[in-house]
Amino acid sequence: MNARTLTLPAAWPVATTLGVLAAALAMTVVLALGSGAVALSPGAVLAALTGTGSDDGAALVVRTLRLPRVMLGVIAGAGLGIAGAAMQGLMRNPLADPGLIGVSSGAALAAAAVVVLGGLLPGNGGALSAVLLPAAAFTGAALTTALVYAASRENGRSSVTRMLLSGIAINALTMSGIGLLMFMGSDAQVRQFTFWTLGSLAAATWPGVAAAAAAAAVALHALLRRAGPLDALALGEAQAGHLGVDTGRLNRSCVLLIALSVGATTALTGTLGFIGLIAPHLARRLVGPAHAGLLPASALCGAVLVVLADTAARTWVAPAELPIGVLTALIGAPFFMMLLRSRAARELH
Amino acid sequence: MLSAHHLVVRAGGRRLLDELTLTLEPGQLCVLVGPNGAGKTTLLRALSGDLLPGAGEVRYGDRPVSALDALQRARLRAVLAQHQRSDLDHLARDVVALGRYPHHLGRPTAADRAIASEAMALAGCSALAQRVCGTLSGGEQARVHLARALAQIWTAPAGGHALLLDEPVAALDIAWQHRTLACARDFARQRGTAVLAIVHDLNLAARYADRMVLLAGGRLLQDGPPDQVLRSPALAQAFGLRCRVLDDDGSGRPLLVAEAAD
Repeated sequence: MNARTLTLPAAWPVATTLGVLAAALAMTVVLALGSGAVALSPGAVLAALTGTGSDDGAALVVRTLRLPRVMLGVIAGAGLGIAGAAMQGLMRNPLADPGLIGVSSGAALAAAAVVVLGGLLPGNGGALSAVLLPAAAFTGAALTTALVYAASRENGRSSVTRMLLSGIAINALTMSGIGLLMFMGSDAQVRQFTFWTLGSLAAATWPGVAAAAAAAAVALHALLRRAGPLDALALGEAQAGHLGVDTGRLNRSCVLLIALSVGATTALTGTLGFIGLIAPHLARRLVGPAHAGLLPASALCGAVLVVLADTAARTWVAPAELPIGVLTALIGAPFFMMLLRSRAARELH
Repeated sequence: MLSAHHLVVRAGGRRLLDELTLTLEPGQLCVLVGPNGAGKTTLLRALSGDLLPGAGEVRYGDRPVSALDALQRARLRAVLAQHQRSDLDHLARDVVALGRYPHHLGRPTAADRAIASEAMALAGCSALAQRVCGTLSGGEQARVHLARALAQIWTAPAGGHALLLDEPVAALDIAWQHRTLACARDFARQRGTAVLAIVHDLNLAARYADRMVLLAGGRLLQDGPPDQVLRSPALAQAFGLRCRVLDDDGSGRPLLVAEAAD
């Protein structure tokens, strides 16, 4: 069975689907806020959020302890979903993912370098780290995106094989870079190793959430303005050029916007693998391939996925916590294999 | 409206185009024929503005192509490349609507959608509108992309427009080869478009072309009505093949029959 034959024309208008996805995200957030050592019913969560409840303890747990973390999950998932959708559009390649091809680890390496060389720890570096970490992660993400993009091109065309192979090389390089930094770092910094490689939402703070939200909003807005050219790009670079798209400028601005989105979230959460791969695929099934619907739908799908994964990560083995990247990889890696199989089957025809 | 003046394109010490001058006439289907490596695709790429010639100039009306940006060019001429991406997830209808991009810039209006469906009707692919493009056969996809190119230049700007087709019938069965060239000819006549198509089948080309241009070694060897070009000794010479010309009583057009190669 070919996966493509299952893709049906969207029966609902895109706006309706986006509304349903937003409602699903809201329900996921309420569920996540109610999960943990103190389990709360959805009613109790809503009462705590609106300040109408009588339980001050619940209000403290929900609003102070859980809300920043869940909101960071929403923003990180949205940012990775947007970046994945834009990257798949830019490379005309459904296997592109910021984690898989080393963009996330490039961001993580740059942020880890700032932490170790600057003697900081994530979450407690003060105002300096609040600016420096995202800036470094953005730079790392931009450099790796540009590198993979350049390496994956062959005679003006983007090649799947070259993209994945250069991703392997860049991932290996950044992992060895992170390893080197950990060797140089202090004991406390070494304990943060899993933060950069497998991700965590535990260090959520409101200023961090606000900064990442601003970055994701800017990226989403700017990419939505490029939805038409990205749609045309699906036909191929030459064809998009014939339709009047300045493909060079589009490529450059998309690389920067992807880096902004990935860098801002990775500085706060470390690398969360496969979200940027899965979210756009789910979104494409729901709203079709046109970017005006695909980008917001990918943001919503990514947010739901990360919030669910984080909730599972902090409740399954409570009071201990699983690294969230373990869970996203557990779902993402088989998903990726499945995509590879369906693509291979299609290309034989 | 689209013209080439003394074009020279060099690559690897060879002249792919050598002092080539050609003016496309509005309302005409001009078919470009010639052996492999004659420079047909190079000429088409130079005319589309994809390739800047080493010398000479391409003009859209009285403006040199180098003075127009990608969007200005896209509103004046459509290009159908020889190869298209074959794994698109888009509905055929949406692929055709992409042809309107230079006019709506990402926000299609009802008029754009109406043009897209008219273009699909003309290219004979209305029935495919709701199908996912990647699930269509090669020939069906070719029709969808032809409709996209027609939609792009559906409304004529002042000064006319052009349609450049690189082997539009390569993937088609014989019936659709005929229908496609008839469609290109009718589009030219009805809308005053200057159409240039690269076609390998000389008899097929002669059946529909208003004008036939023979290219070999980057030079223009023959330029005239199909009858004249088909009967010219230069044609057989260019291909290095002995040919006989028969008169087809049915169509009143000459038929070229190649002798077996040595």
